[in-house]
Order: sequence, then structure tokens, then C-alpha cells
Amino acid sequence: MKGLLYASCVLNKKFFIGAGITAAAATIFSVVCELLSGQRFFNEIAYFVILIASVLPAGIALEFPARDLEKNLKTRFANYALAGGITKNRFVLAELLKNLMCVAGGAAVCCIVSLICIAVKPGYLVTGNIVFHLLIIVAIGVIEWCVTPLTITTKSAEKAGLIIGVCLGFGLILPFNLLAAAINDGSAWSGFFSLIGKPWLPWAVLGAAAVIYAVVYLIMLARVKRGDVC
Amino acid sequence: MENCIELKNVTRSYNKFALKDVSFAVPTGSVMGFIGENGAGKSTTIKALLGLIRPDSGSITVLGEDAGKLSPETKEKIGVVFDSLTFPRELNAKQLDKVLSGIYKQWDSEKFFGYLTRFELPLNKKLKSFSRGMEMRVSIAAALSHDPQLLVLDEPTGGLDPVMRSEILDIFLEFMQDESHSILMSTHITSDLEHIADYITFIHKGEIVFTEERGEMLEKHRILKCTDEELAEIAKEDIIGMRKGRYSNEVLTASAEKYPHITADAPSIEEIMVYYVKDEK
Repeated sequence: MKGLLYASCVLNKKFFIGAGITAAAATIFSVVCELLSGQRFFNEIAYFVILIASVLPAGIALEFPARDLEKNLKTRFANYALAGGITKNRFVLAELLKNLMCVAGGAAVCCIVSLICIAVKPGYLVTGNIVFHLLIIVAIGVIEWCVTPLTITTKSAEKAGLIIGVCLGFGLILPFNLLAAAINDGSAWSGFFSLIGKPWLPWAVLGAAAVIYAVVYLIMLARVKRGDVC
Repeated sequence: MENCIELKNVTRSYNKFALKDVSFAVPTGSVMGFIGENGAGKSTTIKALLGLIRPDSGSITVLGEDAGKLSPETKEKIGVVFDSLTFPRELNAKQLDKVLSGIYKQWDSEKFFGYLTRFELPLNKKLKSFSRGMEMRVSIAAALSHDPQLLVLDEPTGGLDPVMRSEILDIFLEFMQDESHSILMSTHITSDLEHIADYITFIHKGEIVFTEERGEMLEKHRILKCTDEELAEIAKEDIIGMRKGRYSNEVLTASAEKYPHITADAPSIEEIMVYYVKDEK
């Protein structure tokens, strides 16, 4: 399994470099937005920009596992690994580890960006903001993990991502928006945003993420065991 | 262990192709040549015995274990070469060594680099710049570098010049010095099998036509060169394959002893395969 992870890291340096450059740019941009948050125009968008800047490096890094899997399928390196010293369990575990490494790396960058922002302008970002950013990174990790078994079926990370995106959009976001519009008194959105401050929210999100990770792990393992991976 | 590979009534269906009741065994300590035309089912059979596809029915055992549930220790003992390079092409040979040492516990870097030197392969060039022959050579080097007991080779000499093919076949013969080692090799270059194979299995349209000891197979089959009159004398059930020419006909048969008056030539493995496939009865 070490061999698979080493190959992935060597072959996908550009994602890590991209995530690193984005992290550096995100830090600078966040600091600038924070410093300008007192200005009328920036007041409204500063936090939103800092949110995106904190989360974007993780989003870029998390592109890599599914694209790496796609490459392994197209070159049939996955077949070689499965025929060689890698069991089906370890193959799936390697994919999971790639995802979790990117989540962990993205979370670390997010914390660094946030701490720099806190150092520059104490009080602008609070712990609750940082926890919220980290939960978004976990959510992105979960979504990318859901893309992984679909990548085996479609043989394309992009197609798999599109399918998951469409499912999320039409299955979750659109119904919520329709509900909010139907209620039409803003209570749906204010209800949603009020959840952010709840103390149980991080645990609920982590718990849901753990369940989804486990379920998708089993789905992916069943798919790999079925054979014809490449 | 009597047989290192055993397939019994293996069936696997796809949309436009199916393996049907494939059964054969590779005795331990032998080289099995696996022949068949393009699309006959050789690669599908090899994938099935490596556990990469799941048969619809039948059983496959490799080194005593169910092919679908091979333990990591048993997988370590199987060296695999596919018909094209299956390593990430952005790697060079040095990086490939690190990758494979993380996959195989028994990986021997010294042996791997020794083979690379013997095959005249560069260490620092990316695999994507390798020619087809170089790709096969690096695949073979990798297959031999983790102390395997069984080599499963899918067209391993494809794209190699005759000199390098001879070198590779010599390496396979060296590998077979150990009586516990075995090779299953699918190939179109049937002349390679004349040098190395103990047994031949022929697959055609997903079905096994025959699986026999090489010498016996060559001894059994004869090409009868006959006139139209002589052709009429040959029983239909004795004709495996036939070519009609302007002045004479050629018939492949396993019953040449019935027709001692007709000129008979010993066929090559390639000719046997062609006659079985191109049946012009």
C-alpha cells in the first residue's frame, strides 16, 4: 500500500503545489480583506472571501484522489496493483487514506490561514468561524469520497463529480431553496444559519461524515471485489 | 502441489463475448503456452485467474488458493506481465523501484536494477519515453524481482526484436531451473513456445480447443497434402481444418495414420492454430 501512496504523491505533485500556492495567495488575500473589512464595500464581502480562501486549498487538494484513481484505471496500474501484493481491502484503504490526507492537509492550511487572520485583526474571526470552515472542508472531503466509487464505474473523475454534483444540487440544494421560497418568510434560511452556532453541530457533521465514509467504503469495496475495475 | 493453476468449467459472459466452460491446469514446474487468435479469451482468462474479474461460474485455484481470494503472501509469489505497460508513465525506473518495493514485501531492488542493466534500460528516463520493447522489458524485470514462484505473462515478448526475445526466453529458462517454478505464457509468437513450452493450451472464441503436452500435440497432428480425389477419401470427422489450393489441398488432421498413402508434413504450432481457426470445411 505504501507503494500506491508513494506513486500517487509523486505523480500528483502539481495538485499539492497548486494547493500550496493557493494557500499562500489565500492567506495574503484573507489578510487584505480583513484589513479592508472596515471599508463599506469590503464590509459585506470580507468574511465571505476569507471563508472561500480558507477552504479553497483543501478543495484543490481534494481534486487529486479521484483524478489519481482515474489515471490508475486508464493505465491499468490498478489491475497490476490488485494482481500484485495489494489486496482489495488495501486498495480501497489506500484511496481512503488519500482522501483523508487531503482533508487533513486542507484543514491544517485552513487553521494556518485563520490563525494569521486572527493575529492580524484579533476578534474578526472567532473559534466558531474556524470550526465552520473546518466543517465545510470535511463536507468537501465527504463529497469527494462519494465521487471515488463512481469514478470506477464511469472511468472518469469529471463525469463522476458531475453526477454527484447534479445529485446534490437537485436532491438537496434545490429542494431546500424551493422550501425556503415556499415558506417565503425567510425562516428557512434563518433557521439554517442559526444551526451554525449550535454546539452540537460539529459533532453532528463529524458523525454524519463518519457514517458516510464507512458506507461509501463498503460500497467501494464491493465494487472492487466485483472485479473488472479497469 | 501438483498443479499451480487449475481452472474448472469457468464461465464469464460479456455483451459480445463469453468464456465458456474453460478448463485446464498448469502442472507445477512446467511452462504452459496459452495460444489463441485475437479476441479468443486469453487475456480474459488471465484476468480471471489473477482475481481481476469474477467468473459467473466455475472454480479457479492458483497456488492452492481460490483466485478470487488470494492472500497477500500468495500474490507475492505471482509475477505478472500484462500485454502493455501498466505502470504510471510519469515515473522513471528509479521511482518505479520505490513504488514496487512498497507493494511487494519480497521486492529486491538489486535484482531489479540488475535486470534493467542486463536489458539496457535507462534509470532516469520517464517510462512514457520508452519504446514498446523497452516497456515489455521493464515489465518483465519487475515481474522477476520479487522472488515469484509463478509467472503469468500476457504477450511478454510482443514488440521485442529477435535478439532480445532470445535473451528473455533464456531468462525464463533460467527461472525454470527451480523445479517449483512455473510459467503461464500467452503469446502470438508461437515460435517462442517451440523453445520453451512443455504444454500448450489453445483457446478459440472463448472455448478451450485442446490442452496437451507440446511434443504429443505436434506428434499427433499432421498436414495432409492431397489432391481433390484424395480429399474425398478423408472422412469429415478427421478434418480439423483445411485449405483448398489451385493444385492441391492441405488438411490438418489428428488421424494421419488412417491415410498412409497421402503425403503428411509435421505442422508447427502456428500452423495448427491457423488451421483450427480458419476452418474452410
